[in-house]
Amino acid sequence: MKTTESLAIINPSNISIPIYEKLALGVIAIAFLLFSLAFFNIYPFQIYLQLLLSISFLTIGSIWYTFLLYSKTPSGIKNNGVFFKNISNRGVIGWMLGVILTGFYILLYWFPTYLEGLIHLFDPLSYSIRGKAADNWFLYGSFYTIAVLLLGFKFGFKYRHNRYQLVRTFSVCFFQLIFAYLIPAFLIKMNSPEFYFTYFWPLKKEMLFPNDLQYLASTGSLGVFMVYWTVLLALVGVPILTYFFGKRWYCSWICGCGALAETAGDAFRHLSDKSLKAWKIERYLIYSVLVFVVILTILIMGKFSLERQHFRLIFANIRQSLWFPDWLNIFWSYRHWILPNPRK
Amino acid sequence: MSIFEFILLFMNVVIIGNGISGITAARHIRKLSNASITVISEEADYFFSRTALMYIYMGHMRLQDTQPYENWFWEKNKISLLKKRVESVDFTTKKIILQDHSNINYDKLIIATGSKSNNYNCKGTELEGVRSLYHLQDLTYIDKISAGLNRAVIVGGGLIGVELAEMFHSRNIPVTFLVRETSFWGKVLPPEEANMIDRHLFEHHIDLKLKPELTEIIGEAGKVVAIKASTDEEISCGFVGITIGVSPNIDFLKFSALKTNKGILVNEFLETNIEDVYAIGDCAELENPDQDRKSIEAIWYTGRMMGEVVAQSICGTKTAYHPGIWFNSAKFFDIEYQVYGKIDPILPEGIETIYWEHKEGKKSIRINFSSVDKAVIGFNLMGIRFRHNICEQWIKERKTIDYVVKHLQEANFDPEFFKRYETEIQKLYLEKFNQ
Ligand SMILES: Cc1cc2nc3c(=O)[nH]c(=O)nc-3n(C[C@H](O)[C@H](O)[C@H](O)COP(=O)(O)OP(=O)(O)OC[C@H]3O[C@@H](n4cnc5c(N)ncnc54)[C@H](O)[C@@H]3O)c2cc1C
Repeated sequence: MKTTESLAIINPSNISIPIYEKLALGVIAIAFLLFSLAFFNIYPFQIYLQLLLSISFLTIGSIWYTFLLYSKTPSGIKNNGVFFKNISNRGVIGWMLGVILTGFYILLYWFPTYLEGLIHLFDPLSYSIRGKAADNWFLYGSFYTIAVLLLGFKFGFKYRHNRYQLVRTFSVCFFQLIFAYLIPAFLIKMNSPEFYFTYFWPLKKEMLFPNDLQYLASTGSLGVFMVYWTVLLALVGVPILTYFFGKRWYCSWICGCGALAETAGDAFRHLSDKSLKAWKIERYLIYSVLVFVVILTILIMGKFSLERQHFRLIFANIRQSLWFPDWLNIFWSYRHWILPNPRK
Repeated sequence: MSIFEFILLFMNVVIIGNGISGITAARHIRKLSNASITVISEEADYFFSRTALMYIYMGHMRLQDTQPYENWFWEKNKISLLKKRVESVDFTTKKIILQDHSNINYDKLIIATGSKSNNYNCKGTELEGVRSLYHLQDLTYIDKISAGLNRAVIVGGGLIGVELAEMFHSRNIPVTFLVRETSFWGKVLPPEEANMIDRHLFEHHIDLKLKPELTEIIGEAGKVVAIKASTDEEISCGFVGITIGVSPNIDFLKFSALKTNKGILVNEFLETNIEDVYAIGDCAELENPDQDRKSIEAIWYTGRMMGEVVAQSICGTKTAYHPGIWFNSAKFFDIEYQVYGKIDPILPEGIETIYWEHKEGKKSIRINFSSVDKAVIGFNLMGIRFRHNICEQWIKERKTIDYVVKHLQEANFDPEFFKRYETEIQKLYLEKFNQ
């Protein structure tokens, strides 16, 4: 069996960092120091001040560093040395960063109490936009949005020669900030259901589950609008957009997951596994998840409508309506799946 | 099964060279037959993309990222790989003699040995630190010598030269670029485009020196320390890159019965003068190239096309090589370049040109057309992409410049949201040519 020997490449990235870049990175490091103080429940400043300082340092440091990194050279593709740099080639720093991030997720999902110090730090922001104290998901959403915005700026600056990337990056940042962060927060403040206009079935399978829809509809006219939004986009909007634009319209223009991958993930995208095997695994996974979600949704809907004897009504309607305007009747009869039945 | 197909089952095809040409031939013979296929090559275990060599040095990719097929591919497709050097070929007994004196028989032989770098003729070229860039081994050499390098001098303003400049630049090694012509790639690019690239090189702080020639390489203890240019200027440096072109890599076949000139001479079916022996890719020289094509075209896609064509012929469908209308593309640092059809550096008699350049001087469009019937003959593009099939079709159908300028937006192939310049060009055209 032949193996591919790698080129004996000397490490050319041991170039000393210029002084201003050092300063900018220092500012970012101080922001992280402030965050870790909060993590350990150490608050040398008032909470709102500590939050303000942390976020400002992070923002100023990253924007400054981005400028220093990319403004000296003419615009164009900038990937020099991604396979030499420790952080972007699975080196010591890359590995530790991986462990820290994974650990953070474990804490966030299963042991949020350990994050109370950090969560507390975001109380002032949470009160002002959501009208209640921060929780682990608000902490996560805030970090996530900050990462997308700051690293989105870095991405945009790096790819400034390419208008497609600029428009697209603006789009993902916009949808993350407005639709995945601020609107759900304001909805909570207004005592409406926390709703994400940019999540769709089958990505979020519950969105077509009748009980969830019924609950949404029961919360008032905004809720009814959300129901129509959910159903129309999942069943009509998503297929049509995907037919014309491919999956990119969602994955790299709107989706929060894509937003992080296309901004923070840009420095690491060369590490993705491009083997045929990886591609196969991905295909098996996505299609089995899709089939599972479709079947599950159909079963739940079926059970729901059998219980309420709506099936017969629908089929009666289908039989009667062989020409177009009568299809509206069917939709009308479907409304009882979704809207609370006034006769009950 | 016909007799011919039956014979194909046992045919023993040997290919020398695992570059794009040899590998394309192997893959297509496998698609079309059950022949036994052996690829002998000395440079690398597996086929890799030579055009991406620079990106390994620059840290964008690793060697394995430049291999278009995964390592299991060859066994699965029953293509045997042999990493050996071919010393000679005995065409009478149909035997290939390897460096270890073992030999291999063939029924059909495809020679796809690519190019080698041209040598420069002056004092000091034998010194350590003088090298060209073609093979993987060159890259390893250049990589090693880059540690602590004070300056690299590159001699010869062509595509590999500018890549080498970008490579050193990516590692913050100062570059002096000696170009004999009055501007970069002046033998190919018209002056406006060539000047654009010159400006861009200066913008990247490449010390581009136009016109002086290298006269001597000065060494100390066997190593390069400086060069002398025809201007008598001495430039201290630790590396001299010789990039003055390539020529067919066929030395091991000289003085055999095989007819060669610069390359191995082949007819339009890529057959050599010896039966059952074919030559493709960089090492082949066409005896009768198509109109407006050269007899040797050392580029990637011609090797691929020849590989496909030769596979057809060997597997029973005799096919001639007709690459169609000339096209090519490259990238000079941040500026992409495309050409379709015929663009001469100096406008020939009977040809007119319309040239538009963006005000920032990094994008341009040139369309050349015949002054007799106004038929468009070529496109030259900097920083803007055009569609290959549309340009080819327009040139083939001899569409007039009026038509082309009017329909220019159909040819644009830039990504969505990119600024479009068709109206500017249309205006320019009206001003210049509509008396
Ligand atoms: C740095 C660089 C950048 C380039 N960029 C571009 C580009 O952007 N676009 C483009 O179109 N073209 C480009 N080219 C040219 C292009 O790469 C070549 O035209 C193409 O690779 C030639 O392919 P080939 O299969 O004919 O030969 P090769 O790729 O040279 O393969 C021939 C193989 O045969 C082996 N061989 C030779 N003799 C023997 C022997 N006696 N025994 C055993 N093995 C032997 C060689 O070692 C070699 O591995 C570039 C070339 C270089 C060097």
